[in-house]
Amino acid sequence: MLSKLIPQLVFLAIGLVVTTGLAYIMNTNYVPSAQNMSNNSNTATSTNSTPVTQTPATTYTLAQVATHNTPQNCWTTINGEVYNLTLWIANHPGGEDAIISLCGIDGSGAFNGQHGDQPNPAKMLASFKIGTLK
Amino acid sequence: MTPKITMKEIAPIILRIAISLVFLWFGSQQLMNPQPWTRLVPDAAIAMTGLSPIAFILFNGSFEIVFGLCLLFGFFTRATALVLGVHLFLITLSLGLTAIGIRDFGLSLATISIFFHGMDQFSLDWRIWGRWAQN
Repeated sequence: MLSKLIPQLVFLAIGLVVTTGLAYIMNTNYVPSAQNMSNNSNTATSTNSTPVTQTPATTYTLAQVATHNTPQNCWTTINGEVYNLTLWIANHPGGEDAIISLCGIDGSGAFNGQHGDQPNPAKMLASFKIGTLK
Repeated sequence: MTPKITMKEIAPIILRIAISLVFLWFGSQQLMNPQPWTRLVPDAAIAMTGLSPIAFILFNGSFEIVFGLCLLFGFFTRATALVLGVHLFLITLSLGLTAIGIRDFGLSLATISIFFHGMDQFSLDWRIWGRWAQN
């Protein structure tokens, strides 16, 4: 029993060392892309890379939001706040269509129905905030 | 004429390769563009590890790439499937009862089923010590 377990444990230890090494190399060489920087145009980044959201002062009308109704330029309004979800479309775990369907419209019903009582989606959404609805 | 490999023997091979590709795809996405994934990191994970969200995602992506490759080639299949299955199950717990959480719950159980099955005929394990394990 032990003779079979030891190689498995050694393998796991080596795997974790390789994982840590790979992560260290990736982290050392990590440079935020221009796309990511523009994604966070309304955020400030502290020295330890933890995003800190700043409250934007801009207000928009529903008509203004409605002009950003394509996957390439996707704004939506949820519960009185305005969000630019363009860069989230490709990364949404629930699929692109769920976000694309909100572009240019009031997405409150769809968001609250799917994620209303979940903290993580609300936290994610907050990071895309660009203003409030007039 | 009897076939060399039966459908029952093919099943675990397909499952192992399919699940490994899922981990490799998600791992590569995290390494190539970690920024969007940082929004999925629970605050408790950051507090416990002391890593920045970017470093946490890069570690997670590296973990899925390294062990995903081991699963793809069937190298230490049992140990690999166990750690990946538990890893995905913990992610499922953090996601809660959502559509994505339910999907990941199914994937984690599929990975655990590979752990229960162990090596298959197309795995490296079979080539390396299949005969030894059978004896």
